[in-house]
Amino acid sequence: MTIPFSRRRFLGGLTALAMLSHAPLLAAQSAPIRRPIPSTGERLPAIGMGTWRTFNVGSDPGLLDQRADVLERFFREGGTLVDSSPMYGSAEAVMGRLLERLQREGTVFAATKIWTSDEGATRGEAAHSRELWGIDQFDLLQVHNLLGLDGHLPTLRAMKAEGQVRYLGVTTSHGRRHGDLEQLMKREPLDFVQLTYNVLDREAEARLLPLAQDKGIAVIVNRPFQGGRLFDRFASRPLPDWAGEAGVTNWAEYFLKFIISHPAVTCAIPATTRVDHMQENMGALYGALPDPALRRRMIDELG
Amino acid sequence: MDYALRDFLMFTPEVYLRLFMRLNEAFWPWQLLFPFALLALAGLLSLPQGRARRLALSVLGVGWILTALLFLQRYYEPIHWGMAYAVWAFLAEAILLAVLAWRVTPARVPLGIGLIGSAMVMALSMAGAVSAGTVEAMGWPGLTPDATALLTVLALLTVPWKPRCVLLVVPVLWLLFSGLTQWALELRATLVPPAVGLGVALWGLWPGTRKRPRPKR
Ligand SMILES: NC(=O)c1ccc[n+]([C@@H]2O[C@H](COP(=O)([O-])OP(=O)(O)OC[C@H]3O[C@@H](n4cnc5c(N)ncnc54)[C@H](OP(=O)(O)O)[C@@H]3O)[C@@H](O)[C@H]2O)c1
Repeated sequence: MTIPFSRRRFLGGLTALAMLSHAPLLAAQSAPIRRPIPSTGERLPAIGMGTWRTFNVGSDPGLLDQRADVLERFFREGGTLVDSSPMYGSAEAVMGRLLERLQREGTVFAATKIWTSDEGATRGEAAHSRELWGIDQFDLLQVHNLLGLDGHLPTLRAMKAEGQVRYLGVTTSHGRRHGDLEQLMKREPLDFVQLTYNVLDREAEARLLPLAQDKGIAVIVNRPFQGGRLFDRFASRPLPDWAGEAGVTNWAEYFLKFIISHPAVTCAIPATTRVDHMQENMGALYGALPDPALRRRMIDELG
Repeated sequence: MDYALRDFLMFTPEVYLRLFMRLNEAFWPWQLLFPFALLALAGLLSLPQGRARRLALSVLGVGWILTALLFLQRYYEPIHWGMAYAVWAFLAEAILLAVLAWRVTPARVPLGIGLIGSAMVMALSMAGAVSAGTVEAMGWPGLTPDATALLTVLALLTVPWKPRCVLLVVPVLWLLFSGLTQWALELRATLVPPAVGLGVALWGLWPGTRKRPRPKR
């Protein structure tokens, strides 16, 4: 019996060997960190993306091409949740154009907001946003900064019952109106809340995050880099030598893994205009996460 | 968790500067006429005939209309919903300038002074080019808002104090808004035209400048 042997097979065997030697790395790389949405159990990649400022490029052809690369990198690295708002200028329209161009309408977990003080305009605004995004249904509609909440929330609930939206939620940022948010979370059945939480701004840890866990509400974390300020302040420093233990290889992972390692957090939504930054940010979706002791160290390091 | 001015910014500096580049690309080569329009303005304001000087105000009004419909509506509004209101304010200023041209005759300005003013506005129109590092980002007076507002503030020094105050409202509000925007964008060069415009406006609003200039009919 002759064993068929060719150069191609030989090279193939070598590749397999090389892959085996990287097996643990590959395993880690191929399993994005996902978190269940408590109200359904659907699992969401723990890093999503924001679009405030970064995707407001209007109809600029050059910038549309560039942002298409950023968005494609996000999806290719395992991301799904994109957060926007009618408040963000052209960001929703841009997202619609790019999703169509990249044929990613089926990949995206589309989250936008209702941003109007006209409490009767919920359905109209959602329909307009749907048109801009070019999708049949939003996965998540959030009341932006609790604006017009009393009118929008009942309508959103009705829309959810009619199958027009899958989840509903509310947003705050910069630590504003945490008291109101807390009351709301106690009172209303919400699928999601969005709030600001990062290694320096940790007010949410005291009451809101435990309450979300208790009530089974998914948490989206905005401003994970304090709008970029965390990089301005800390990125020139070397990473601490224990960073590897926390699964961290750069500052973006440091900031993001701190956030998503909190057990109440479902997803952080960093925003970027750059493909290389997107690549760094998506690194936080893979590998080890810091345990509570390391999380403490992460705070102390920057304190 | 404090707010900073930059937290209110809706777009990045690159997107902002590219608005000017895209407008210049689309409008080319018509903007080359604008320096001549500036010279014509200086010329008109220097003429003894009151009608010529009134015409200068109407020419300025055309600049506000062009700026509203081209730069603000077509380029700026898609990235800033607030521009929908600015478009109306700019059109209102154009109407006010037309009314002013009908009712008031500007004071005569020596040609040399007018030319210095025009040269200053042209020089400051280069601010965007300095910030972007390319002449394509230049903000022409009569086509883009900061340079148009600056030119108008200068021209309004030729009209009596009361109507001047009314006509200064829109340019001053714009220059304030734009100055804050440049500040938040951390663009230094483009901060200069709003700063100069506001300085001149402040001087023009000062009651001490009330009596001057006496319009000659
Ligand atoms: N009330 C609300 O509902 C609310 C309020 C605030 C935010 N949000 C949402 O949350 C999202 C995130 O917040 P945010 O956009 O304010 O701030 P952020 O994500 O904390 O920071 C964004 C900034 O970080 C920089 N950045 C990103 N990745 C980086 C990296 N790897 N290295 C260095 N710099 C990096 C970006 O600059 P580059 O472009 O240069 O990368 C950008 O300037 C928003 O986009 C929005 O969707 C919602």
